Amino acid sequence: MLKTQHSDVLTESEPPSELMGPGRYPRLKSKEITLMFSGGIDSTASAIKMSDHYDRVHLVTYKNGYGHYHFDRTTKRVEELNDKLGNRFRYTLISTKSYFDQILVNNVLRDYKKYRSGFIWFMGCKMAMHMRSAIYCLENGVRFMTDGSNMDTEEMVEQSLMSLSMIQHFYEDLTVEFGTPVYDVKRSDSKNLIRELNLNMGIEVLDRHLCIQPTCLAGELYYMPYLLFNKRVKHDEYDVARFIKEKSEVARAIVNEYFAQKGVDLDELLQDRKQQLEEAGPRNQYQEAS
Amino acid sequence: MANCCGGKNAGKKIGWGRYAAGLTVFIGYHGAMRALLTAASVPVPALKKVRDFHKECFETDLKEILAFEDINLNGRLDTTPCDIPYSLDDIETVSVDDEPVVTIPFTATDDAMTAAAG
Repeated sequence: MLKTQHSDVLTESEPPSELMGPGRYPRLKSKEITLMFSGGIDSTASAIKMSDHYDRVHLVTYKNGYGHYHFDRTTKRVEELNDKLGNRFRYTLISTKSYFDQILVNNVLRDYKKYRSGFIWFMGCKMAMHMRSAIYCLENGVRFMTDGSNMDTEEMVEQSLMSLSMIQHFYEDLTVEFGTPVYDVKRSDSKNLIRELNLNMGIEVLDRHLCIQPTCLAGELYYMPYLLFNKRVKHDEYDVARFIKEKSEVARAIVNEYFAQKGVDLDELLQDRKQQLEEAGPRNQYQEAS
Repeated sequence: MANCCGGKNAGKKIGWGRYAAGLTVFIGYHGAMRALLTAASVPVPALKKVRDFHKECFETDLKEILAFEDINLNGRLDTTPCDIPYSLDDIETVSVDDEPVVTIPFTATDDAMTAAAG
């Protein structure tokens, strides 16, 4: 793994294939896909499925800087996947701390008063991740973006259909096509897929597989009443939608600033991608790319 | 609050033993986190916001747990169908061997999104 000091990229398995600069934009790669990856059951099943349909799968993992650790587990999972499926996966670990600070942490108490629920922490964190994923796709010329959201974990606010739909709109504005390939796949099927490849399943406790993905302390605390007492997780759809809408604007401003700092005109970059998308034509992102 | 199933295990019955053990773990874990954040926010003042946010969330959750809110202790809770703006019947369960289905049904969430935009 390469260590990068000069940016928010903490680790990457190989250098980027092309470097973006003012007026120099990457060619659109329709046979590559970016996957938000932790190494857990759902994202690993997504990675395996995507490797059937794409030449290259970009696995991106994020560290939010607040009680988020054990990223070595993800690295091991990537190595396992590359060993079993033939070096199809490019891995990058990125720090989202400064983006998360801007989206939520700097104003967390104000936002808590406004939305009256701890969901803001997770949704804010996830939005920082999605925002940085969109940047990753733009920088690397990747057309498609995906994650391991699954209906079996619908108690997680960031995996609700409403949240995913709004996130999809966010990507769409940035010419990135976002979908969730294992959303309605049974978790037992995903587990079987991983077992068939003889990958590490971690320590199985009830329905959970421990020690195969990074630990998020905040997540453990927030979902503890659900896990310990079967207490309903309460998210008001209206508040969640309002929050995503508000923070999408902050995230979009961060994207603008990110590219401005690199001397890249974002409008020009998006225009270039739109032209390339028109040339490539519409396609069902998973079926036709195979 | 409304509009959330709250997870597949939400509302399932638990007994006093699990409640007591859960309460111990809950207070222990949160207490440790509170101590950690309090200590860490001395050298790193920026963490004060996080510490105060954690305190708010912890206290809210603890009050609800002590009031047995949404906890089906010994079957005391009348489990009602979830109030979400889409039907889970519309979602087909597929096999991992099938071609992936990727389109998120926008229509499922139009109401919430329109309300938010409003």
